[in-house]
Formats: sequence, structure tokens, C-alpha cells
Amino acid sequence: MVLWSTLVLVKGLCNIFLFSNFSLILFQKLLKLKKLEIKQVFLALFCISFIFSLFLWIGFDSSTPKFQFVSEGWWLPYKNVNFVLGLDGISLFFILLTTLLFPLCCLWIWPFIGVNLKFYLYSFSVLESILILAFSSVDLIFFYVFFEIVLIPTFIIIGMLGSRDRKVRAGYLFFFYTLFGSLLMLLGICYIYNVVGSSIYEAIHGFTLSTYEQKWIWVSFFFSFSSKVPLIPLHIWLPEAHVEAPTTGSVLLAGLLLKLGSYGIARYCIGLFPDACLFFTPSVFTLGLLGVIYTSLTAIRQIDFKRLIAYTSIAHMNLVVLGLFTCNTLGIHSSLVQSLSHGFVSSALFLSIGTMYDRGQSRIIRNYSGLSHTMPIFVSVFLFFTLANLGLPGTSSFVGEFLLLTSIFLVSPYTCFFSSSCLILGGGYSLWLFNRVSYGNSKLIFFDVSKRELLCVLPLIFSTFVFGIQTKNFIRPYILHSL
Amino acid sequence: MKLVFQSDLSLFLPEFFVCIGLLLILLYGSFSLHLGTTFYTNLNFTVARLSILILIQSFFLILNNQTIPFYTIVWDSNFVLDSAAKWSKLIISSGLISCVCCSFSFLFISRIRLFEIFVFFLNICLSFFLLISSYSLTTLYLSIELISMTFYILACLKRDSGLSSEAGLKYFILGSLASVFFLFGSLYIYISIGSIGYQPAILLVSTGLIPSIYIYLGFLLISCALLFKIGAAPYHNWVVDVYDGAPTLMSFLFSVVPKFGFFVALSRIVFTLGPSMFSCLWESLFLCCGLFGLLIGCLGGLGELKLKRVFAYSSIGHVGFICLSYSTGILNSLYSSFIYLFVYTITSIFIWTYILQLDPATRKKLSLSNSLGLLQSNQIFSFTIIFTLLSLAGIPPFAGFFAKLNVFSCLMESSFYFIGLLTVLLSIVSSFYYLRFVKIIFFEKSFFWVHFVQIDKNKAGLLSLSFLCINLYIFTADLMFLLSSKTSLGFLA
Repeated sequence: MVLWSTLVLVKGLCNIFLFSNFSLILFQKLLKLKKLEIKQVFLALFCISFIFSLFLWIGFDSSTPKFQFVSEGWWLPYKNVNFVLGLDGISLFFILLTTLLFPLCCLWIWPFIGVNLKFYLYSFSVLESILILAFSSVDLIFFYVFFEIVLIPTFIIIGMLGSRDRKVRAGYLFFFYTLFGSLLMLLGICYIYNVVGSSIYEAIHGFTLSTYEQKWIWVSFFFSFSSKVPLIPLHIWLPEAHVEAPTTGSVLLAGLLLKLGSYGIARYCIGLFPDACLFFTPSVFTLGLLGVIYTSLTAIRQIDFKRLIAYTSIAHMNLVVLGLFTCNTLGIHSSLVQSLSHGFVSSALFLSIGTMYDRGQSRIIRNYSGLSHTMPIFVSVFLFFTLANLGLPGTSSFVGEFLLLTSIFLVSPYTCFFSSSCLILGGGYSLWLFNRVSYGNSKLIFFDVSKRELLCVLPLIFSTFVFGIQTKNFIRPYILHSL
Repeated sequence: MKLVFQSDLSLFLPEFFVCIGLLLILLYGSFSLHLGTTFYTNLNFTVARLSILILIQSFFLILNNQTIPFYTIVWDSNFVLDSAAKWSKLIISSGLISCVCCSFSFLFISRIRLFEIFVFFLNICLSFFLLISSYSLTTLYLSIELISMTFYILACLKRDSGLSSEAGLKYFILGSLASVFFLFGSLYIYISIGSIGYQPAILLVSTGLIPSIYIYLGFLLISCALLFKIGAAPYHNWVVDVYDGAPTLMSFLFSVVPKFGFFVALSRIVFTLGPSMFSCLWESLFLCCGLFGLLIGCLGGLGELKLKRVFAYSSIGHVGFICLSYSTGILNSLYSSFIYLFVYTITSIFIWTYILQLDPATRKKLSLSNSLGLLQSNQIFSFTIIFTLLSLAGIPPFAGFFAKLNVFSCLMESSFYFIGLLTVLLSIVSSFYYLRFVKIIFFEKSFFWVHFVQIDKNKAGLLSLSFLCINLYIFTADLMFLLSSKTSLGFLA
């Protein structure tokens, strides 16, 4: 009993603890910390929040579909809008992913020399807090608020800490594409709030909206999530933003912000408006399929390796959306598994690419060749994640992709046929990139990966492996929740 | 012996206090000028401090006014005192206090040695108090004229600047035209109802029995005149040039104070006098104003380079938002428009204080590039500016987002779906120029030395107070809710 009550508080602590990151901003002026100490403090905070989220996982009860670790706070009781946080099977793993990735990013920027280190770390801490709040908010209006606040630190990271002058354009593109979708979602939220009278998820879940209403609100919600995921034609911001962002910025973008989109679709589009989903499934399938094939083909012809991995992110997330809209249990499970594994794999790929970029200062593939001669550890890590990218059995992405293709086959064999080209083309671009970079004559001689860079990637290797082999332990919590 | 209007005197104490204070300052100023031995008598500081004292005292007098059950009609049904009037007067006086706070350094640096400015400020205070409390078309018109006269003079205060004279002239000509339309409209109302006061009009009009068809025209003309004074599109022509040409302190005044006051007067006409006219008159009028305002606000602001003009266009856009929420006509619309007005007033106080702080630093035209390098020289200040700009753009978690959320909620509740869609698209376009500002502060490198410019005490206090109101809104949302409810529900009594 005591253990249970402490675990209830842990959820609240996880967030309060992150808000203490804000107070560091004030204390830093008072305490006059040196750069090294600031980095150490932030790293410690991020690691502690990861450990807290592990406690959340341990204390999670996977036998009920209800929200757990619920903490409520009054916000505007007259208008029946309150600040409610709660964990669900879907959100639990995304929160774990969040708290896993941030210590790695903090560790990655350790040798950062530049005046903007403080902005980097503050943006990270704000981003982590807001992402955890977004994944755990039960109230629709607050989910929207956190969904939008995410824009600000990401805009700062892309626009201020990127490497080229094109970063401002990339920041603008990212901001406006996401803002366009989200403001449309705001209209849907206002409509729901007026009709239902409350914005809490469970209240709306229990309320039956007519199919006509559902379709319109679904459209408004879908615009917002489809610009985050991203689906064609709202994908244009992603290659630009990923290329111009610093390495950790791309890791967070690919690893977490895209997952916000798929989480939103799973929880809100499918959870709240099932009739509209059934109606719109053909159009979403078209968009997703186009996305998979087009982006995979485009990825093959890229000369910039960061842009290549960015396009592969779009391909994988489009496959996830295809799986979500199959509207059967297997599809929703596998899409969430694939989301998670994509979070691990693409983050690790961006980190590896960042290693290359730190050494060669160029993103053009042609400049790199024969890295396996001088950087064997790096090449093996890179190989592992390249194979994970294309879905090698043994890694978590195999589980995700195979189950996704199975669930799509259950709905429409033709779509499955075409979307399995994701696997084939994935093999094409991944292996070709790896081949060009690692084998051949050595053009430039670099030092192998340092301990820090290896340490950043190790947890992701571990997670990918463990997820790939032991997935059945992780699927079970989802079963009761997505229905 | 009891006077006829004895109770009214005590209820009108703040107005009398301001009036007497005004006269006192006028006398003090005029006599002190000739009393000194030299011609170099800078009266500004003493007169400014006196006027701040008077304004603060009037603030507390309003707060202390006898509690009114619903409303009290005073002065032979020419004025009304209700909760709406009380809270609006508080906002007006606090806006004026902030304006006088900023005036210390501005007048010193621009070498304007007219103590009469403070007489004008107190005059504005008095006339807005009368405007807010007015309960008849005569008093409304007289207060409008009193305000406008003062504003025309204040707009062309800098006699050596051609831009300022142009601003004053434009304001004067267009403003008088609006007042003429007001009179024309009140003529039609008199024709159809047979009385100038609001009380008979309420009895006749709000029940839905329309005496004659000319009443629509009358209300239309009156509301158009008031919308002109606010600066709503399509009557926005004067706004940009006047904000640009007038001395910056006066632009501060124009942006902060009149919008609130004239919106209160407009709310009285729309909600107290004519709530039955929503479906035929107010809806289409305010929809037109709102959408035009948003369109002009966002498209106009995109091309501007001068700082004051950008914020003039943004104010047109925000007024358009408020008009949109008026057009829905449900209970929530009053509440949401007043929250938006509060948030907008506080945000303008912040922004214009910032512009005032920039203004004397360069003697040239203020453009967007004046804020270059702010991140290096004054980090906290640049963050507060960025947060305020994001609040204007409507990004959570700042107050501007919640104000817009309320407006959207009103629109959805009254089934204005397509209008909502248009509003959303236009607000995305307008967020571009706020973001451009953010980009200039954050991302661009300045090619000249930046130095830390210390903000003087008055402005710093004002900036921090208004910043805290906007950016900690999410933690104290119920306070703002209560304030705007108290203000807005007074109109429906």
C-alpha cells in the first residue's frame, strides 16, 4: 500500500522535477556556475528523470484500461477545464522514450564550444518537460497547449544552433506547417468542448457524436497530426528541418516530435472518432502509400546523408500511419511498436551521422569513404542500425514492420504489396549509404568513436535488441488501452 | 437642506476628483511658469508626479465607490454606475497611470516642456470616465467629442515634425467625419424612438418591438462612428498614419486607452440597447469588420518596415478579433471579448513601453532592425519581448492564446465554421511578422557593437508587471476570468 501510494506520487514528482529545470535558469545566475558544472547538473537531472520513469513502468498496472497515476489540478473550474494528467499504456512507453533520449542528447553536446550552451540546455529541459506533459495529459485543451508549446524550443534549437544560414528558413517552415495544422485542430477542440461540455478524454470518449460531426472534427484533427507525422503533402518541413538542425535537434525531432503525431492519431483520431476513421481509411491509405513509395525512392537519390535519413523517417512514419488506420488490434499494436523502435533506430542513426559530421564537417556522402579502415567500432554500430532501419529480424523494427505488413494485408492485400516496397527500397538506400561510407578506399582518416559517443548510442542498441527479442512483454499493456 | 442630486454627487466622486485635480494642475502650471525668475522652468516632473497621484487616488476612489446592486442611474438618467463601469474605469485609469509613468523620461529626452500634456491626460481620464458611464446619446456624444479633441491635439504635439502634423490633421478630419455620422445616427434613433436616453430605448427596442425601420440605420451609423474611433477595419485608414506620426508617447496612449473605452461604449449599445438586433444588424456588421480587420492587419503588417506601423497593423488585426467575437451574440462572446481586451491592453502596454525605450536611443526612424543584438546585450529583456510577441501571435502558454481560444470557442458555439476557418488562416499569416521579430532578436547577428541600455525605473516596473500578467496567465486564469465576467455581465443587467 505504501509502495503504491509512493508510486502515485512519482508521476507527479516526475513533472515537478522537470519544472525544477526552469528554476535552474534563475539559480544559475545566482550561483554563477561554470560551464562544466551546468552540464553536469543538467545531465544528472535528465538521468534522474529517466530513473523516475523506470519506476513508473515498474509500478504500472497493465490489467486495467483506466488512466493511472492520475494527478488533478484546478485550472478554471467555472468552465470545467482542469489540468489532469494520467498515464496510459500508450503514453507510458512514449514517456520512457522521451526520458531515455534526453540524457543521451545532453551527453552528446558535452564538447559544445559556443556561447549558446545555456540556450541549448534550457531548450532541452523545457522540451522534455513539455513532451512528458503532452504525452500524459488527459485533458484535450491542455494536450493542445503542450502540443503547441513544443514549437518554441524546437524553433530555437533549429534556428539558433544549426549550422548553415538556411536554418532560419527551415525553422520558419517547421513552425508554420505545424502551426497551420494545429490551429485547424483548435477549431475541432472548441467544437467538441462546446458540445460535450468538458474536455477530459474519458468524458469525450463516452459521448457519442454523430457520424457527420465526427467526420468534420476528424478532418481538423487529422490536419494537425498529419503535419507532425508527416504525411504528404505536409512533409516539406521535415527534410529541411532535419538537415539544418544540429545533431541533437534532429534526434529529438525524429525521435520524439514525430511520435507526438502518431500518438495523437492513435489516441485522439482513432480513439475518439472511430466511425470517421473507417470512412476516411481509403484516403489515408492513399496518402500513406504515396508517402512510403515516394520518400523511399527520393531517399535513394540523396547526396546528403542527413536528408537521406530524414526521408527514411518519413517513410517509416507513413508506414506507421498506414498500420494505425487498419483499425484492427494487430495494426494499432504494431504501429505503436514500430513508432517506438523508429524512435530508437532513427535517433541512433542521427547520432552516428552526427559522429561523421563532427569529424568531416560536411554532409555530402561523397566526401566519406572507407571509414571501416580507421573507425571499426563506429562502422559496426552504424551497420547494426542500418540493418535495423531496413528491418532485420532480431531488431525491434523487424517486429514492427512485419506485424504492420500483416495487419495491412488483413485489410487490403494490394496496399500491403505496395507498402512492402518500403522494405525493399529501405534495403536499397540503407545498404547503399552504408556501403559508400564504410567500404572502399579511405579518403579521409578520422579517429574512432570516443567513449562519450559510444555511450550515447549504447542504450539505443540495447533497447533495439531487447525490444526485438522480448517484444511480447511490451505488447500486453497496449492491448486493453487502444480499444 | 438636501440638494436634488446629492446622492449622485457622492457616487460621482472619482470624476469630480479628477476634474478638480485637472483644474488645480492647470492653475498651478500657468502660475508657476510666470513666477520663476528664469524662463527655464521645467515643470514636467512635478506636474507629472501630481497627475500620477491624482490618477492613483481616482483608482482607489472608484474601487471604494458604494457597492451597487445591479446598476444605479444618476444625473437624471444621463449616467449609469454598474459593475461594468466600475471595472472598466479601473482599467482606463491604470492604462493612463502606465502612460504617465513612461512619460517622465520621454518628455525629458524629446525636450518637450509642455506641462499641459498632463492636463490633457487628466482630461482624457475624465472624459473616458464619463464615456463609460454615459447612459444617453447626448452624454455619449459629448464625451466622444471631449476625448477626440484632446487626442487631435496630442497627435500633432510635435510642432516641428511634418509627420506629426500630418497625423494630427488626418485624425482630425476623419474623426470629425465620424462624429458627424454619430450625430446623424442619433438623429434617426430620435426619429424612431422619440427619446435620446438609453432607458426608453431599452424598453422599446430590446423587447423586439421595432417602432420604425429607421432605427437600424440609426444604430448602424452610431456603431460605425464608434468603430471608427476604435480603429476597426474598414475604418482603419487613420490608425497607421496616426500611430506612426504622433510622438511615441501619444501612440502609446492611443493604443492602450481608447480601444478599451470605446469598446465599452460599443458594448452598451450592442448588448444593452440592441440585443434583439443581432440577427439582422450586428452579426453582419461585426463579421464584416472582423474579417476585414484580420485581412488588413495581417496583409498590411507583412510589408511594413517601420516598427510603429507594424504594431499599428497588428492592433487593427486584434480589434478585428474582438469584433468577430462580438458578432456571435452569445453570452460567452462578451466574456471572451473582454478577456481579449484585457490581455491586449496589457500586451500593448508592454510593447509600446519597449518601443518608447528604443525611441530616444536612435534619433532616426524606428525600424525592426533596432532590436538587433538584444540577445547579447540584455538577455532577460529579449526573452520577455519574445514571449510577449509569441503571446500576440497566439502561441500557448501565453495569455494571447487563451484569449484567442475563447474567441474560437464562441465562433464554434454559434456555428460560424467557415468564418472560424478563415480566422485561423489569417492568424497564421499574421503570426509571420511576429515571428520575423523573434528571428531578428534571436537569430541575426548584428554587425555593430551592442551595448547594454539601462531601462529606467518606471519603465522597468511597468514592463515587468505587464510581462508577469501575460506570461503567468496560465497559472492565474481564474483571476482574469472573474475580472472579465464582472465587467461584461454588467452590460446585461
